[in-house]
Amino acid sequence: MNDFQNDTEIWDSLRNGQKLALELIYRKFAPDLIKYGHKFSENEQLIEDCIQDLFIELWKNHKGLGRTDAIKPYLLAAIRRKIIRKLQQDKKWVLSNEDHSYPFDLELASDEQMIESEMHAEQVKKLKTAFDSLSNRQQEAIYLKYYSGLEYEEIGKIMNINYQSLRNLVSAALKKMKDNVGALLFILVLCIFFCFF
Amino acid sequence: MKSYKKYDPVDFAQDASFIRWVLHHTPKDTAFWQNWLTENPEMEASVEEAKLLVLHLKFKEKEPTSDKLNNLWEKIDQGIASNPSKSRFILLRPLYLTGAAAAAILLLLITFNILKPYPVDADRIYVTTQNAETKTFLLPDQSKVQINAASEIQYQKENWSDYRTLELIGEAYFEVEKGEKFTVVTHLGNIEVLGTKFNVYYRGKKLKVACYEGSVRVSLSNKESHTLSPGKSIVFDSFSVTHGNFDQNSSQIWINKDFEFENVPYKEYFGEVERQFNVKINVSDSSMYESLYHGYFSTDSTVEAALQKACFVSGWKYSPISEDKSVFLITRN
Repeated sequence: MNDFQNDTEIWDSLRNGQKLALELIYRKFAPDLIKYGHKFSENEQLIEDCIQDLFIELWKNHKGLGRTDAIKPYLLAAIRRKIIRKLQQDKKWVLSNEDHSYPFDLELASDEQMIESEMHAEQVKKLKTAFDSLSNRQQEAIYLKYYSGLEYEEIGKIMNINYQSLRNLVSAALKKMKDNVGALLFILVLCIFFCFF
Repeated sequence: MKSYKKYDPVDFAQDASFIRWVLHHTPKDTAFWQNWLTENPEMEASVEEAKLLVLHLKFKEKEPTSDKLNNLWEKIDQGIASNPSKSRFILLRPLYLTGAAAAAILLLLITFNILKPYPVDADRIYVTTQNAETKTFLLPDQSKVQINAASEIQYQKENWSDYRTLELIGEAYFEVEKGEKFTVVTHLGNIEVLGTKFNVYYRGKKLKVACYEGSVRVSLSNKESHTLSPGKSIVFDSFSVTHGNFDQNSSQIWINKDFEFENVPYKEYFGEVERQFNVKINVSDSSMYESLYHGYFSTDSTVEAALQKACFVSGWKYSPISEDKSVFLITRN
């Protein structure tokens, strides 16, 4: 639970030099930052260093921060830049464009409630295979949209990609998943339909 | 209105309202989609397919433990306090040549007194408290401040008696020595006194000021100004102002570990319980936050007692407190 009702207020408090606001922002968003960070690297120390740097910089530069009413996309974009830069430094990568070569490792969870029948298990396996065949960028976009609940505009800013390309990217990904499981899904739909209605 | 009739499953699966319905069952979206489906029964198969697709987009996640989060915050806190230039250097490393040039120019400017170094806030004092922690301290003029849990006060130590101004987030009880005007600044309004005892609560969108002795002037951010005498209180929730009375001689105040609540939303009651006992309260239904509660708890007693009281009145149940200090409240049915 958070005492600050909205992001604008808490962000303005930070800009005014309230250190408590920094901690509140940390408490509210650090779990999401850590989880997102781990998609890029399994190195816990690296992720923690990046988060530490990010918050120390936020505090040092609080006077120069612009206004925002959405802190989460701002922080996700910042941590993403930091992690990718650090990974590149560590591996001595020479890349002209960061976005076309970076790791992003995401695994679909199997909802135990949903795997009731063997047929369904097969279903989930197929979905997972389809999901694994998606590109890193597609997986990342899907993660930000469905897990972090961000809008396409916000995701676009985080991933440095324009709205239409992003929509195309996600549409193509979802279509691929859907096509891979099309026929089975239909049977499943019928099953669920008769179970619940 | 969007033309959902032309949507295929992939379109539905990307629609924000659709996702909210499937994943979060938000009442407004649920009502909309149920209604839409009755009007467009031929779309049922597409919708079901999209629903399954969205429901399957769940990812394996490992939640960071609260220990890990606390440790990391401590590191950040220490990093801020002890090593003010560390991250700057990391930032400049790839640009060390430019950095060196800039440093040389800066040195010249400072040497010839063209540019004064940025003033360091060395005498800016921050007093902060964590959950389940209170602090008592004296200001340079011997005014006494008791600061409640999860709060922060900051002020300029230099020339204190000239300005006597401090900033507050959270809650504090002041016993101010007579002298020049003494001001407590919050985002919702300033509290000005000459020499009195008073309590200020400022969290979220609520400012509450209670006068225990002398006279307190409250200048609100909506330009209204009110003067409080002992036993009078004022609540400003950024829209409306409510006046109240209380017994200023009663010992029922947080500095005596007694927390009283008169018709406040449960959200506020739980917030105080969280801060006083350092627990995290989760509710099964956010509407549980909204109803009003009248009651009290004491930090001499246990967190269970504080939860028990609230749950008894509303017919809720609470879970045992977990290792990471979380507790869940559920409605009985």
